[in-house]
Amino acid sequence: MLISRRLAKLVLIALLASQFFNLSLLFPKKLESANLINVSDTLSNNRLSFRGQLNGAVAVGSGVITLEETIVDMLAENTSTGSAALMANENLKVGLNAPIAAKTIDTASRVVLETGLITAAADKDPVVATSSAIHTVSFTPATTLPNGAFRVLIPAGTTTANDGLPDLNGFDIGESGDEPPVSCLGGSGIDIWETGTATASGATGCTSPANFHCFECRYSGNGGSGTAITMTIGTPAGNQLINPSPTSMTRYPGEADTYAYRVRHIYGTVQSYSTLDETIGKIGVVEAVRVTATVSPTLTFQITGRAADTTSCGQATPTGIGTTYNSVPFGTTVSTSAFANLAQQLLVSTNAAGGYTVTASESAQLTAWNLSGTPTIPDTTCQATPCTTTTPQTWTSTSYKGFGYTLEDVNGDAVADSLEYANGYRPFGTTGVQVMRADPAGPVDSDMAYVCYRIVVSGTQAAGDYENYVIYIATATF
Amino acid sequence: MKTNVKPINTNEQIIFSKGAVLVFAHLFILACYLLKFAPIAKAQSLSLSLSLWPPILEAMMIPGKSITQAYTITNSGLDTIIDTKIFKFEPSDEHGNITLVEEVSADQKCPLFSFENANLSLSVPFRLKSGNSEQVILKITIPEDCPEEDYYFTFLFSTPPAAKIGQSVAREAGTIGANLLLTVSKDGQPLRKGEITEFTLNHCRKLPLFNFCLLDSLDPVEFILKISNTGQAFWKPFGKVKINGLLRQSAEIEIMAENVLTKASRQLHGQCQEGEEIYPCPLGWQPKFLLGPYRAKAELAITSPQGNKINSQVTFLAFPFKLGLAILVAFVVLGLIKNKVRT
Repeated sequence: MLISRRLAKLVLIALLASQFFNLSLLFPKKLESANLINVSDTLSNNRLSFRGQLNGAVAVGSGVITLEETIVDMLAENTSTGSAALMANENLKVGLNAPIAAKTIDTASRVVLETGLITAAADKDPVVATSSAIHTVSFTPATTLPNGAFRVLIPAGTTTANDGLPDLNGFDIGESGDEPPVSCLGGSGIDIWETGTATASGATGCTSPANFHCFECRYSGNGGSGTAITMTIGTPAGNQLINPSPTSMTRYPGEADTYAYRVRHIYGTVQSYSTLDETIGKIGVVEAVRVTATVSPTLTFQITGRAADTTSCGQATPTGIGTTYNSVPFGTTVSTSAFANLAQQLLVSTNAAGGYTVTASESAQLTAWNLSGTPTIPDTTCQATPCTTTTPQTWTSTSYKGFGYTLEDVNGDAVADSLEYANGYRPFGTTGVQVMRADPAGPVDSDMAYVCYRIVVSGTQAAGDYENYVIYIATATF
Repeated sequence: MKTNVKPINTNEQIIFSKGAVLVFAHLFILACYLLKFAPIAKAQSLSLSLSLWPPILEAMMIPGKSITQAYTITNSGLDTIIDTKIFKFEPSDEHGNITLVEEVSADQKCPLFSFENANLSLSVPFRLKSGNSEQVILKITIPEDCPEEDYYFTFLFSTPPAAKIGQSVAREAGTIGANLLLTVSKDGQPLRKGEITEFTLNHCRKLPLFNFCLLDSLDPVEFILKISNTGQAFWKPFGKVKINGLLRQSAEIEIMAENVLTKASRQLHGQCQEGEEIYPCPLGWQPKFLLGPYRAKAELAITSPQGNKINSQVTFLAFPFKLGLAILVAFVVLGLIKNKVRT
């Protein structure tokens, strides 16, 4: 009795001692030095600004302007050509006039304005539509530095980078006093974030390297490493950086101009500081396409599990067993005398003009990789022919063994009638075949379908855990 | 009455209280550990949900030049790992769907693909947290010696399947892809030509020896128009189907400008518009009543409205067969009733 008590005491002490090892995880060893990691700059709007010029003078009261379709004077920085990148309702500053909304984009070069010009515009006068963006710069410091600062350098135009007009080769910070506000949050070992500063390229404390605007957050505290920090430049309702105009006219829809920005972990004063760590990242600013950019085409694809005790494709799932978005656990429900039925839900939305398609394939037949001879559960051959990856057939008798699937339309007409569960089941193949598509072709909102898996095995099937993986690929049609 | 209460042993009491302290200490340290390292449960849907912008890129490139394209991938589901791959594709049908052929290998030369991001590389997985987006900047470079032809690829963003769970299971991997249609041309004017391979009425019924379709006056007119690309670069058709009837009935159906890839054919749709949204719809016409002979002519231009013209025509005869049959049946029934009344 006494021995067992002592033993229990020893076990408890050993258990307590083992927990002290875990305490070491609370205080991980710090890294010595490295570049900042996970650096990114996400623009709230990555569309290029428009800076073109008139092809012909426009009289007072006239609201029709014609744009140059080629670059006339590269030095004037009016590198946007034609009207392809403009959109209706966009504010255009024509010559010395205040911005006027574009009513319609008439032709490849002509734009009709909502109202006529107040001041006459001369041939070759600039036509400007600014695109501004909030920059959300994220990074993770690699080094501990007490009472330091983070400085983000954003490329600036080489001539007038703070006049409130788009620049050819960098971002414009706005006129003096209109600089975007800067704020920082996150990080470890930070007691206080001081109010961030924005300094135009070439101004005091922002001269080296040349042609970069400087955005800085200073902090007090130990300044730990390994925790993400976010610097936000600009606010939704306030000032923002003005995106550049195109670097040249030879571009294609969606083509990006890329700019290299720098994130620095610094110490010292604003005027005289030293850089501890630095990482260079790139941001892309793209040309807008009027036809599609009004609402940017996007493709969304979702896979969701089906809860336990639900019915899909007319079949109830085994009691208490559901699926997740990435696994269909047949487990012990697999039987030699009854079908096991499980399902998942697929959902697609797209505003792409041509619609979408979803294909399905399997890596291989369900295979027990850990058993001798790697036995497989065959893909179904249904109980009628032809039963192929593209043609379903009736499969109601458990005499026909294997693994297959069928589909049910839930929302929209995503599943071809011939592939719906009323027409039976089919096997997966290693080559992708269509399971969903937009019908009629075109934009769809939440096309939804159930994929219903079915399995039954023969009495001689070797006991074991069988697995494969099914790959669903959603693409827009071309 | 004797109660069966066991007397408390002092030694046992001490050992018990020491044990309780040890157990409590153990649980306390464990709780501290879990609070520090256990993930905080977030309110998020248990699904894979990826969005991709833009879903298609069309570009013409000069050998020796590069372009960059920014893709935004958004994760609205659970935290996941994203792997990026590029596959060659071929058209799988006449409706704009694709079949992935093979993954672009490391020694792929025409074109060369790479990422411009500082922290991302092609085929190197990255983590994408729930609710976050990542801008992936794809650089496409065409070396000087690339043949002048079309190159079709799909840029895939894949999630890994679930980990093994020690039972029979089908594991799912979700993938979302954007198509890249690239034309390589030195002078920007690749050979673009094509032909109409089929232009007919859907459900066309022809009488023997007659080369026109028969249609009921109350039926909608629906065309099948297929074209093939026999040139060296993909293009879009621009044009209309013009319908003219003997009784001065006429209509024009705008054709949707859809991509026709090289060595492939495509069934064309009509173009419908709702607000500013343009989308394909069935290539058809639905007048209230058709009568007599009609001629429909498909007039298409390749690449632009001013491009090379191709055309084809079909004739059809509309007659009120159903109405005539109904009237005939009505007369027969009336006649029978009349006869019966007389007799």
